[in-house]
Amino acid sequence: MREERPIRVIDCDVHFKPVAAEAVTEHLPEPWRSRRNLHRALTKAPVYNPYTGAMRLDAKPAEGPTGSDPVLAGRQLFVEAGVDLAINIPVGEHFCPLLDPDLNAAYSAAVNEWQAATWLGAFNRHGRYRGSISVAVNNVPAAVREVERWAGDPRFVQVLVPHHAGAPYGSPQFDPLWEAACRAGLPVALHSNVGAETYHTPVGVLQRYPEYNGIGHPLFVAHHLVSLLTSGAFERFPALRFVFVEAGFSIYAPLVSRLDRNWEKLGGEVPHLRARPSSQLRDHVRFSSQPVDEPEAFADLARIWAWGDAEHLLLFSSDYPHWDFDDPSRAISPRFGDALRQRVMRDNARDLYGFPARRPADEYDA
Amino acid sequence: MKVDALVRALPRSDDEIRRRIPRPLRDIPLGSPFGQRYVPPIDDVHPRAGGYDDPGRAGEVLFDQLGADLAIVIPPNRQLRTDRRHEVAVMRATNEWLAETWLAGSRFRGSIQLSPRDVAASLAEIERWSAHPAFVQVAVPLHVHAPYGEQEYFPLWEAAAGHGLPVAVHGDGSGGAELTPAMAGEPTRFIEYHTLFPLNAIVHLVSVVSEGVFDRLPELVFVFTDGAAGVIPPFLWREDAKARALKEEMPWVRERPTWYLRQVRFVARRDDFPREPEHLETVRALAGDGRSLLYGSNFPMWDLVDFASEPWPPASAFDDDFFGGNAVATYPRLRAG
Repeated sequence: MREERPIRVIDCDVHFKPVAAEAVTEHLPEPWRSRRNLHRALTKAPVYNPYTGAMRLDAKPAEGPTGSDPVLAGRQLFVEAGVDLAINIPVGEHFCPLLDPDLNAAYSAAVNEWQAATWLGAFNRHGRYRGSISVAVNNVPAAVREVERWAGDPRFVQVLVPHHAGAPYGSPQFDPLWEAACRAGLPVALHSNVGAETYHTPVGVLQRYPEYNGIGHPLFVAHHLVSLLTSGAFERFPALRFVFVEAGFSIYAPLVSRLDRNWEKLGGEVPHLRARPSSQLRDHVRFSSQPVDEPEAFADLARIWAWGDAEHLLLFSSDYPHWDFDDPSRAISPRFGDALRQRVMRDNARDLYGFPARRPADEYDA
Repeated sequence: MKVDALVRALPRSDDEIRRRIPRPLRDIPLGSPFGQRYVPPIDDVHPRAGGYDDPGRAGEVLFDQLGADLAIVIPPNRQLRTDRRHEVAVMRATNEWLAETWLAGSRFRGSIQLSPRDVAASLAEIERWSAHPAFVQVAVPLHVHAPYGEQEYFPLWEAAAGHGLPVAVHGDGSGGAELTPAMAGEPTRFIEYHTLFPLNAIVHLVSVVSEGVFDRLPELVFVFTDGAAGVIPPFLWREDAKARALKEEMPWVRERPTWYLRQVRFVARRDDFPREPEHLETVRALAGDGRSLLYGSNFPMWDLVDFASEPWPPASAFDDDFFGGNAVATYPRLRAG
């Protein structure tokens, strides 16, 4: 019998890259593979970026782009950071959503085949990696087929959607996708991406990365969350689970509390809602932890985490290999106590994704 | 002294504004002051607010029934007008109307409405009314083409601070060409709109902090009138972490972003008061231990803050600073008597 290890740390947000664009596009059928300028659309430079780049400088392998070397990634994640399982979320360069809905659907399928062949295949003999089914939200019928295509593959543990879909996710046009995710027994993860979105806020354009990065994505997520809660999506699809990744945590409890208070007066507009909106959160919504907020007083963070029920709604994530990587040994302050830390580092993800309690020992355990 | 920091002054009819606008712009309709794209599924006006468009009858509710000593009124901004000349004409007419009607009595205080798309015309409007003792702040719309830290606006904030006038940022969707008010597309229902649009205050706040406006004008105060008082301070925590790690990108910002909350106030709105006492206390604690919160009724709207008839929260959950002391500390012109 193979030796086993207990799973203690589940990292819900890591980002791996292909060595080169062709590693993904070789999975793309014609006529798309030969389309002129495809690479330019897929390697779009981020509009907002730290001046020094968005990656950990020590995560750059000797050859190839950051996040493309399984040896270095395995050492940094499994040995140095002590991660047991990691969920890949393909976003950014090479994984930008495309505006053409047919091309976007074809490319999303190629991304999933690339994941299956590499980080969930050849690089995954130890079995510590899980993947996310990339789908084209501007082509819902194709997205449904893509979910169905991978539904039986246990390596894919969630459906991945971008923050920008042209409409909030409670809109009826997305219902078939949520239905497909529920049929497959998969949560839906929302992560920001670059490419198909716009960069203006409702009140104009911010100037720099530190401004936009802190608030742009959470403003999207706030809108999707309120839309999902008010549209009754979680009542139409009782099995639907949403994970909001890298979008912060602290603002959502006070936001949904405001929604509760408005529902008291405006509930006649949403007669399908049988209970107050906040009551849907614990059964349907999770948030990833990185970057953990750092208010001046720990007591303020503790208050908000208690209000937001971090003990049950928060999932640890490191965002490897990005510059603001959260190390699992330090991300969640010991002052939160062992019970909360264990739920955030492991139990909440295990409950959501159905992960086992133990994993086979492998070369990184030596 | 009890100060109601948010009362909406509404005209009896648009003719009151339009007859102060020169022809031919006078002929352009202004649209509903309650907004046209997002309309509530209940009456716009609260049952207690009968006669809301008559300053005398409004005063009976605000001063006799709700117990305020002074009330700060904001007129509908009617922005964004697609025609800039019209927007400026509406701004001027609105300020004239406010001065001649609501501010003619002794207990109303007013807001100088600005049109941020025309900084020169807005500066002239500040100069025109700043000597009028009843104007205690300037008012700019929440929804605008560029966030308020941008250099183009700086002369407005400099003039406002120089005259001891806080800047009220106020979203009211009052009949102009309303911009898409939320990030992920058009909100589909009023409850979605009403819950989300106040979050746009964080964009202005981050912009104002990041462009160094508060560093350059340490006496400047921004008052966000649409609430989200429990959301915006923890939202700014995210900026603290970014700003510390990426300090070289904004070396002119001297302190961590949350430090500047001392130059920010929120009018606490009905939806800012959580049902649970411990969460209500959290909202208060994060808003500078309550010092950033101003009481405002939002008379005469459906979400009137009505401590007399609503069961929660009780007025006893708040102290004198909330009901007046913070406003007096915020508005120099309330201290001048």
